[in-house]
Amino acid sequence: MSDSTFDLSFDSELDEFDPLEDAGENDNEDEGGDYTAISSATDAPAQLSEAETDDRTPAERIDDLFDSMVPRHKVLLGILSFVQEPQTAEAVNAHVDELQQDNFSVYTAANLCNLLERAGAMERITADGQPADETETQPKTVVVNGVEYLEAAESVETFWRITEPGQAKLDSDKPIERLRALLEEDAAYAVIYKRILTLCAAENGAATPAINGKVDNDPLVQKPRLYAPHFVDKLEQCDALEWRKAWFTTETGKQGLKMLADVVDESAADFKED
Amino acid sequence: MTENANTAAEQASMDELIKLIEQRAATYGLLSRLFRVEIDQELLDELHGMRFPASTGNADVDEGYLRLAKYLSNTWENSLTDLAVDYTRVFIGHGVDAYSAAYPFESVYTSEKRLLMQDARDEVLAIYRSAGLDKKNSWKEGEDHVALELEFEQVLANRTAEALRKRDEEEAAALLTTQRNFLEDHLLSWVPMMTADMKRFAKTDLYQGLAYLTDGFLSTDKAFLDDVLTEDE
Repeated sequence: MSDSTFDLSFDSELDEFDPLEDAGENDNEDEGGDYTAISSATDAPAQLSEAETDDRTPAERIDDLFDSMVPRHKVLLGILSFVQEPQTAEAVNAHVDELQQDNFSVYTAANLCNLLERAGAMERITADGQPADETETQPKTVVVNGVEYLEAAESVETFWRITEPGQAKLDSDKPIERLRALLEEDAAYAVIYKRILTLCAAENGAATPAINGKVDNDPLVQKPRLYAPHFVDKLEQCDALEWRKAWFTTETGKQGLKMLADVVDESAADFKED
Repeated sequence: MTENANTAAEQASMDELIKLIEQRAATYGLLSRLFRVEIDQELLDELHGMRFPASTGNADVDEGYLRLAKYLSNTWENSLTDLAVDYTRVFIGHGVDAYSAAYPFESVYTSEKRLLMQDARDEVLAIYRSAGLDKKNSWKEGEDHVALELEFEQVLANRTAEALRKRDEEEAAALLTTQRNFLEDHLLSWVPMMTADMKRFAKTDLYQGLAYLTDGFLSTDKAFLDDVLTEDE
């Protein structure tokens, strides 16, 4: 908060100011500020107005979340897939840590689950399937030396579970079709895609410099000038490649190789690694 | 025999007063910690092990303890994240209009344009220094942060208990007077406005409860200090 956007300078004009006076009337004397319109004196809880302004359906909120978090698609879908059967938060957190093992993010498992919950893609339930929000455990009352005290009661165990809109989102994700569409749209570069997928299908995958070396000097990518990461990104977005400290061809990618079976890459051996 | 009985009664009364003052110090310490930074696992575990009085005679304190206990009875794996999000929502906010959060600084609530580092900060800094206190280098916020003002009362309360143990009643009275003055001139002059904002922004029962508890405790403490200083006079 020390790097606040507030003006930190002292103002001698304010020496006479009495904080207990009604500060609601500012007569617009500050330079251009419009804060008088937003008074802290309102009794309405701030979160109500925030909730009231969001009239998107869960499906729209989920789509917006995915649109705004493209690099996390796979992890978000991985979470949704995992919670098709109810899972404890501990299990989900461990699963997300695994999913993000080689793909570090500032978003923790709890952050991602929170975002999915707010979007309406998953919900927290109790063991008997009731929404956790509607199940409130009351504290225990104990009497010590004739005085009543409140003690925290044992919390009810809760589970994450996918919602119907979340399931619809998960079901709508068809990486094979996305890959097919990509290969059709980028048919001119079919050779490049095949070369990358083949390279990364090796037992130990392929390092980025190795892929660059096999792609960047190909006449196909000279005009317009494109580089290997452009193709790797597109394949990754179709779940055809994944990063595990090297690039690996996934099962989807192997399906892609089958789609490219007829493509002949005669030049592959000509482009040595740099 | 009667003289001995009187001495014993006085000692018992003194022990009771010291205990009461130490309890005040502990409450100030807890409130200060809750406002200072987000809750960590260690503090959450500590809160889980605490007992909260169910009926103190102050409605705000009771409401505060009830909400804290209720929150603690419904914690789950990701509670620390929920609390960190709520702490940010309540005390930092995301707007630039100076009305988007319960800013925990006296200057914000006592300056016309709701600015940081105003007269209130200079005043409390001078008071801390007159008591031989200064902030640690690790503290990067203004000295008029609510956590520091509460901690100042905690330090003085602990010093009072120590003075009473040494039978230095004059020093104890001076310290209690400083606490009352600081409470009147500073904490009570703005914290109720901040807690009103906390109640608007907080989504968790923990920070809702903290707002009620702070309100109730400060007014109870003011009554206590008035009583004890009136008796002393």
